[in-house]
Amino acid sequence: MFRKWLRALFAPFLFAACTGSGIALPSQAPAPIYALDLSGQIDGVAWDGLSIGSSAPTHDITIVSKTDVNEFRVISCHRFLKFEDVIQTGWFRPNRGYEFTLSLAPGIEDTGQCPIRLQAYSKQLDKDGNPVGSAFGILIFKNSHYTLPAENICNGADGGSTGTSVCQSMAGLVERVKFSEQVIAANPANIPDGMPKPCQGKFIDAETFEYVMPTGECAIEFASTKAPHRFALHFAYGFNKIFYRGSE
Amino acid sequence: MFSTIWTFITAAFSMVSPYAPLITGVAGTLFGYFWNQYQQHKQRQQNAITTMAQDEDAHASDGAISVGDRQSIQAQDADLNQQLAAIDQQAAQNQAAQAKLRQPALKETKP
Repeated sequence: MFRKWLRALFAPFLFAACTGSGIALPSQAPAPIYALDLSGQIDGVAWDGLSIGSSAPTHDITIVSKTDVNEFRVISCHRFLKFEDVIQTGWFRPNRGYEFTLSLAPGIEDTGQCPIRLQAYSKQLDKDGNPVGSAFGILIFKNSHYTLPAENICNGADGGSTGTSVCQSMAGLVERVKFSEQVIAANPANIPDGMPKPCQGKFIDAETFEYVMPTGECAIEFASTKAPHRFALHFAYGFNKIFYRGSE
Repeated sequence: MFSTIWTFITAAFSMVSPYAPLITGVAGTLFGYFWNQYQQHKQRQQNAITTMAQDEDAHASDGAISVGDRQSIQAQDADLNQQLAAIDQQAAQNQAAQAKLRQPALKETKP
């Protein structure tokens, strides 16, 4: 009798606990995707944010951050490197930079399909006492597999590329890649589930691909229909937030 | 605790100087100001460390994203090669059909 009474008393609580209907989870805003604003030089050529390196096996890379850097990381599809205490102090602080040599791992990193991510973390304060935040960059290296020239119409600039091209702009904007001959693009339906899909867009004519800049990144490969077929790779990065670096 | 010590110091100091309340008052105000500044700086520094940790967390999966990019590009490469093979085959068939059309019709010859 007592057991029955207990069961009757606690049953509603058990039901509520199991269904979870009484628990309201706080809605989380998606993490902001910041513009890539690390810059520097690669093999003596200036780079900024999202850039292309040559197909050489070894590269001298200089990173210049707009903020002081406490920890610098390099992450590829193959390796993770960490450099601590890279902060430069002194009266003038001419560079908040770091230099290193990167030898691409043959067959993995030098295929032109392995973006290298540069991360400069900072726990410093700006002159207003606010955290300066961290800075990021992406490098992608050319490969002889990608030789098809294109016109990269990206973020108000119009530049030529050979094989590999990149574009960084605000998420949601319309960008184009134009070729001098008829091309085809990889079909998203043929990319296995679980893998990132190619950049979402359409051909506005046989030679011009137009896509909407994603939030985050996407890559799309093209091939010329005329034999001998040549390939091109386009890598795009869309941001929805920019670090204010004005008062550092 | 701090105010007790400060009251004791003020009382002791007033025995040797008539300006003790003024001097300790100014010193106390200054100390309070700088202590407050120090606490604010410490809090800001902690915020910066928290921001850095959040940045690290947000980019913890960057390696996996690079691997995903590579897999996707490789899959796209394979897909393009298949599409191109089909295009080439079609082109070869069209070419063969064209060549056949261009061949002159055989004339029937009478013995």
